[in-house]
Amino acid sequence: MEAGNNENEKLLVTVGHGPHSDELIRECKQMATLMQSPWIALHVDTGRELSKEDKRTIKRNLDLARELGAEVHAISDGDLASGINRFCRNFQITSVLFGQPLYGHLRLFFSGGNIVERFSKLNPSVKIYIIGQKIKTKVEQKRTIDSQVEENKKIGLRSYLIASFYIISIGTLNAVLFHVLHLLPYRSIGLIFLLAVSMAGRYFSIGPTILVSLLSLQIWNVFFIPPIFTFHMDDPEDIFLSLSFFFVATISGLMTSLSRRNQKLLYRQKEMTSALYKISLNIVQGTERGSVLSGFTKDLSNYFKGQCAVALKNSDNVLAHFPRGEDWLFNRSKEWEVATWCFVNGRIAGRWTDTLNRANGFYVPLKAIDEVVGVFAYSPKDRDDLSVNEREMVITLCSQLAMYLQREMYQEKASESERLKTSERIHQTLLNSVSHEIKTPLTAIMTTAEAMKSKPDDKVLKDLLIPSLVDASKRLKRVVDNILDMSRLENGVLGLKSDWVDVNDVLENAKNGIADQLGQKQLVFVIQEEFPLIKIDALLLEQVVMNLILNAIQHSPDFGKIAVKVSFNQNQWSLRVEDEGSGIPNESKELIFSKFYRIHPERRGGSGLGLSIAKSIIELHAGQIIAKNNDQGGACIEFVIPRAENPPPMPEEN
Amino acid sequence: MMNKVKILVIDDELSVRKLLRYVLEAEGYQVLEAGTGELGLMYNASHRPDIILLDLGLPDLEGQVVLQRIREWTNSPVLILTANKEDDEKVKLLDMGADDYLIKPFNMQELLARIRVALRHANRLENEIEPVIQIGDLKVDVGAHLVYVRDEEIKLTGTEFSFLALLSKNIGRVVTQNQLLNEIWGPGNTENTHYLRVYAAQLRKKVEVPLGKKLIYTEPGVGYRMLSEPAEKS
Repeated sequence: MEAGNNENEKLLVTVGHGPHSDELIRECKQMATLMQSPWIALHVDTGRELSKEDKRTIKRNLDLARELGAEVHAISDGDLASGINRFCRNFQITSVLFGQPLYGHLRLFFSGGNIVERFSKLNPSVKIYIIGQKIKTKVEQKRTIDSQVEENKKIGLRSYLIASFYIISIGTLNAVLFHVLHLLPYRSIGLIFLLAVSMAGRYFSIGPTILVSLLSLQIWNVFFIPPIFTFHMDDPEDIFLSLSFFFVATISGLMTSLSRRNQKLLYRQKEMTSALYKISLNIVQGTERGSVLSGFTKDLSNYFKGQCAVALKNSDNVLAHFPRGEDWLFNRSKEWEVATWCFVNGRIAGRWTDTLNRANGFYVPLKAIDEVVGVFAYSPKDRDDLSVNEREMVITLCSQLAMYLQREMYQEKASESERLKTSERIHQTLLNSVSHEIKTPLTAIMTTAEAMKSKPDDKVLKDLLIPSLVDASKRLKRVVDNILDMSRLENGVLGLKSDWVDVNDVLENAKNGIADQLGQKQLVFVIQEEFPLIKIDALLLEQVVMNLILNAIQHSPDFGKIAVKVSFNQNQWSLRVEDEGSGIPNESKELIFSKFYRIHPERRGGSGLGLSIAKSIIELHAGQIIAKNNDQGGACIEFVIPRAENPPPMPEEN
Repeated sequence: MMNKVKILVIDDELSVRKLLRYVLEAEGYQVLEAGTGELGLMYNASHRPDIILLDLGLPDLEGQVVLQRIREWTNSPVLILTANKEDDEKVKLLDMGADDYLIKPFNMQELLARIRVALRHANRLENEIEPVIQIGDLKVDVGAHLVYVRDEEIKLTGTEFSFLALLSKNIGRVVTQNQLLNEIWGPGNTENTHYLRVYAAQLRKKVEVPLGKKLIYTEPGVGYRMLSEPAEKS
């Protein structure tokens, strides 16, 4: 929608089924462009019965206005002028375009005068433009009008017949009362006719009501007012009476008819407003795309009775199929073609439209700013057509949904690119930090191998070099293992394989894993008596214990003691690794668990990943890990893991 | 002179095959190399190797398929080589009848030890099981259900004895959790791994303490292994 930037002006054009409505719309578009102002196309449903052709014209005109960039609205009001007036006040309209009225004088009389005049009386502050019809010739006009009148007559004929039948029955009843039973005087019979006419207003629209009024006057005159069986009246009082009868009857009939129409409109409007409210609420408050979409299609299929679906575009900007599988209604090739056309062209298509209307479904593009994000499909059940207002409602809801989806898709893209950036950063840091740790042992291995190659028979050289070769490859293995573990933990590949485990096994295996790193340092285990089995992933926990011990080894003085203490209570168990090093500075207590952090960056060894991996694994076990210092100095790293359950019972044995 | 023991190495990595050939030939074995599963199966059928080293993650065939098809021709022990210690596939293969496994990169001493154990076990199968197994100072009298440490009898419950006997019969080899649970507690108990933890702990207390050395090793997620010489464990 191209909104103009002239904030002060706002144009309105009313859209009807008149033969020149489309010209009026184009005219309005031109004016709006000149004035650089936004413009609105408005259809007012006055509750009048319209032919199919007329309804189609209105819809076509509204679509035209939409394509030309108008904001399209449809409202209901029994009176056109007051409807337009209400809308103008709500939307701060400054100017209204009208076409040259085409109605005859009689029609004008009944509708309370020319629409333009009536509107200007209701709302004198709005500028009014009257656009003459220049393009179509008089003859053409006449023909279109004639053909429309013809069509309107056809629909009306039935209700006129019923109306005639209705008044003839009332006449017969009256005849029985008057001629056979002699119950009432002929003037009272007139009152019964009056009643009948005002009742007719409840059931018939304006035309048949007037017919009923006219007929009843004639019947009363011919069959009841003396002299009977003539149109002639003797008594001047009767002449006056019948004339006033006619006016009172017509007016009361019309009033009833109008009020009934308004009531119906009001009811329809209310129903639609509440549906609109409910559905848009779902869109606005929706937290998750899936539920918004399913709520949207469910609400609409409930309201319109039929099947509704939404297809969205995928990341390659191609429309993806409707959910629910290949051979679902809307995904069958003919329907799918229409949906795709609708998506590509951004225009309504399918049933009840001018494009590919052989289709079973009605397709509305989900148009957001500058893009179509998907297609809404509706296939009716036992339903001939959507009314103008209903159609507008669907289109409005679709554009709301489109806005929501666009916002969602933007957010998705943003978080995706944020994620990519983060992982890029991680990889960069990893590369910087780890390349040193990888290259050092690698260099040792390469130079040793080359030296051995150049002097294959030098026994002394071999004895010298082989231990360093073994040492370097072990270091390399450790770094690579850490990197692999880290990336698997980060990608969530490492799921827990929890099983009942003897904590002694974990400690023993961890000790075996680091035995060759221990050097002259001393490792002791202190295990609380009666330690129960614990449910953990043994391999991962071993990794944690190894990493904690390796960390302690790195920070321990020669001959230092490293103590691993495990204890438990009813709810949890904990393990702490204490060393006799220089402890952890306060400001590093949190940081040591982040990736690549080192208290002493200049010291070699380790990948800077060990504690970070430990933390990840402990958190996978719903536990916590903290770093602190001992009273005697030296660092202490402790983790606590909850004991969710007790081990199952053992079988009896004799 | 006796025929050389034939070892078939199925691994797609050339450098690994070269290294293995070098090490194994130095130990007096005859080595056959196969870079794919299909070639390995062909050599298995044509040369009837005495032992097979099978790498998981071959380009053409899955480990389970290779093992199944090896078994169509020979009963020779199969050692699994795998790069991933968390891999469940090795456990499946062990339960299917593979002999043992090694995690890459592995220690050569360990590999040689495993090969010796596997060959010894394969030969023993042919010559029936000994009624009395002597492992250093430990003596397990399978027939009489008695256990001695340095001729001192150790009182064990029935289940403890079954556990110890099963590991002793397979000395040096891994016995999977499923094998233990099935054999000792019967089918339908494969979920009850906590039985194993409890009995392993009891056995360690009763046997390892008087013996004064570690004997029973836990391999997380796989099973248990009894080793007479800790040096065989890297």
